[in-house]
Amino acid sequence: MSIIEFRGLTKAYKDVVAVNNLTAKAEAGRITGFLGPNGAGKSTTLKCLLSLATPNSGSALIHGVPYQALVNPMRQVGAVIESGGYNPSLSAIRNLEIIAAAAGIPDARAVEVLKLVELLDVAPKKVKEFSLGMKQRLSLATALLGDPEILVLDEPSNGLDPIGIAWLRTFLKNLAHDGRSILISSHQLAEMQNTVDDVLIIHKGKLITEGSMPDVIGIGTLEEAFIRLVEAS
Amino acid sequence: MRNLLKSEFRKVIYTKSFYGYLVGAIFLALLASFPAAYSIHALKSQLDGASLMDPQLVAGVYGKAISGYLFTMILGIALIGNEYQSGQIVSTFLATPQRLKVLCAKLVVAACAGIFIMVISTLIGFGGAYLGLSHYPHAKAGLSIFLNLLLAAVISGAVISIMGVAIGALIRNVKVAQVGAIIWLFVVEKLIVVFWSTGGKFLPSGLIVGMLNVHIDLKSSESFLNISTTNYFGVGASIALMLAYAAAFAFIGSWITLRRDVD
Repeated sequence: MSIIEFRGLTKAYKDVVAVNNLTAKAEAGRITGFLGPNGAGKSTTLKCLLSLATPNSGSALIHGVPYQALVNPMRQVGAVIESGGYNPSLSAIRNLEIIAAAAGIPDARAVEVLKLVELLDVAPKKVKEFSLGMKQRLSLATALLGDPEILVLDEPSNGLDPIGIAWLRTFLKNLAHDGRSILISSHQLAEMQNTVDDVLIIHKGKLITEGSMPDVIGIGTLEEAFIRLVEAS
Repeated sequence: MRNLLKSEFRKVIYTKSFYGYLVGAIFLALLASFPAAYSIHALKSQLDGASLMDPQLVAGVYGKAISGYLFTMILGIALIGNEYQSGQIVSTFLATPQRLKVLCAKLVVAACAGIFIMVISTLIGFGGAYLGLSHYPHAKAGLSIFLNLLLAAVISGAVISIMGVAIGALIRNVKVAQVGAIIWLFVVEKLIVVFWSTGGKFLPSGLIVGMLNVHIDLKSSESFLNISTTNYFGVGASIALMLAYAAAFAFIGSWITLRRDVD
């Protein structure tokens, strides 16, 4: 059963078409890698999915409805978006309390998710004093506030050091093991090969392939398959 | 809506700049009100009729206590502009994707915070004017001056902070929006209100004078120094026009927020 579906999604900014008639889906209970080179349209697609940007045509649906139409959306979908989502002048705990209040989630949950991402020790610290890795963990904590069944993660490993990447890999696998469905965008192919079950690859806003990891890579690595598919598109 | 209001209130009270705006408004109110009596006393030889025996001029001195409204505009701009600039708006819209609801909560909270700032700063400014006027025993303040001042503080605090939210939604660069607002409210509007009262009476500054119900008519040998507020709107009409400003700016803010993609 597909939990996320793009139907003919098109999004243009002035003359630039960022996403072009994208039709694809992500299945329940699986980790789906949303891959593509820089500027392929991954972030724009995810913003349309989360109702942060309005498509020119087509639709992006979660459980068959737009994000905007979900009841208690943070309890159904948790998201990490590149632009952060927090006030850098406030502490981690204050930022989470603000979001929790808006979503009707008890403040105690903010402490729980900070513990989960191993940031409890620095909870009173201002976010602007955080390293990139700590900010990424805080974003993950934000996404988990509502204990959602679906996670949409836009480049969560960007700027992470090898230890951070290893931590993220284990963390995501544990989340998937709990039965969550995860859509994760990235251009770090080696890492994705170790993490995801299914793959969607887009280039210049268009879908070039989708399927399970073994079907897409065939013989060789994800990187080799990716380069072959992008060059052929 | 209750959850959203709680979240928006937290954004205000958790942020240090809110207390900075309050202190700024108090400082401005005192700076304008305390020395006003001395200024009028000093100007009585230049301006015909400038005497603290005139109850309207005494009301004018107390009216200076409302000068902190600039900071409610800056607060309104920061409330939404900083969210767009820092990316915090992403989590706001993820928690509540119905943007109109988000904007309504922001407008309510901005109005409440603006009223809080204005009431506190105006009361302290009133105290400053009282101290300044204490050297002129014949200059007395009546209850109506105090009530008009309080009413004007409440209405201007709410309306101008709502205008700030709309401007913050419209102009992406917070600093540019805030500096622009300072220049407009502190320089452009003041000049228009003083030198072209026919047009100035329609502007927020002119409407605040109208709400204060102060009618001053001072003539100087230099005509450009003449000060007259006699043709300003009355209290009722000024309030109605201020509320119309709030409605128009709230509409503009909503329209922009609904249409705008998050970068």
